[in-house]
Amino acid sequence: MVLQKKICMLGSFAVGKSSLVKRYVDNTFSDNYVTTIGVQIAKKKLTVRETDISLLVWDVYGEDNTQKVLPSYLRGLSGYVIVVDPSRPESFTSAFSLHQLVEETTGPKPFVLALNKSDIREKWRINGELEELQNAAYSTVETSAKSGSSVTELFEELANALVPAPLKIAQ
Amino acid sequence: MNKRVPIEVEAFYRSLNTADAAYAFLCLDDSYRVKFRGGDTTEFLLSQLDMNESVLTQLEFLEGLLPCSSTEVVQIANVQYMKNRFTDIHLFWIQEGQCVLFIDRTDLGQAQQIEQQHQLNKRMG
Repeated sequence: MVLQKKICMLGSFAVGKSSLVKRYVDNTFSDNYVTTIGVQIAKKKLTVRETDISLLVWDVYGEDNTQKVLPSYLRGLSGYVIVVDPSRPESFTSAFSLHQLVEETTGPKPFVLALNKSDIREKWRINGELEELQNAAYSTVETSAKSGSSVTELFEELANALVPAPLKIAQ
Repeated sequence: MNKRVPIEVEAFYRSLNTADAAYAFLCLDDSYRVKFRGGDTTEFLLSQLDMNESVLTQLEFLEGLLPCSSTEVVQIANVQYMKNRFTDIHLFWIQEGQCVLFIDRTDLGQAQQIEQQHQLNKRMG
């Protein structure tokens, strides 16, 4: 039996949500930025602790000052990825508000924080603002959709959080 | 089986003022199998669904969305479940059961995409 789980990619516009999904699902990358309207849905199968799992990845449009994410997109999610671009610290604000929106809409769910664009790490500007979010996250992963670095690990981390660990039977 | 569009579905669709956009609907039983369907099912690739199997295994993008309660109306706008195809999904109840209504928004979605892309390109230099 395959476990189906809906996960959402959330974050400000142009932080690389769609690029991470494309890298993970199709192993492709394009430098041309194409904005997402509404939501694009992709699927990826993987195995976690001998459990087959099918991730339905909802790549939700990027949030900005004029366009907030609607709670209906979060309906039935099992977990989520919050993506930030540390070279654009303003993307942290969206990350916080989206985390809050999920908590208010669905209650606490496992999430992984993606610090994307690690290929331009020299431009990152992190000053401890993300500490609170990192503490709440299942884990934080530094990714590059461009190079492919740690992209698979990002989704595997979340999948790990979605599959219950086997119970240990006391001897 | 295909059935004429129930009056509740027709009324719901008309209330949305979607300018005669193509639409199709599924009415589901408690196990999410298709009881009946109607509208332009071929357009939305719904005509080949196996009536004996849950739609969740056939239309996987519905995972997590069902069920909605009998008092709820859920709208999820601009879902791209196929490349370059935009669809609004509405969930609500009719007398016969849970209804999933698909409304084609491809023209609108593509126009929005061009406009938003233009705005963002300007913004990001």
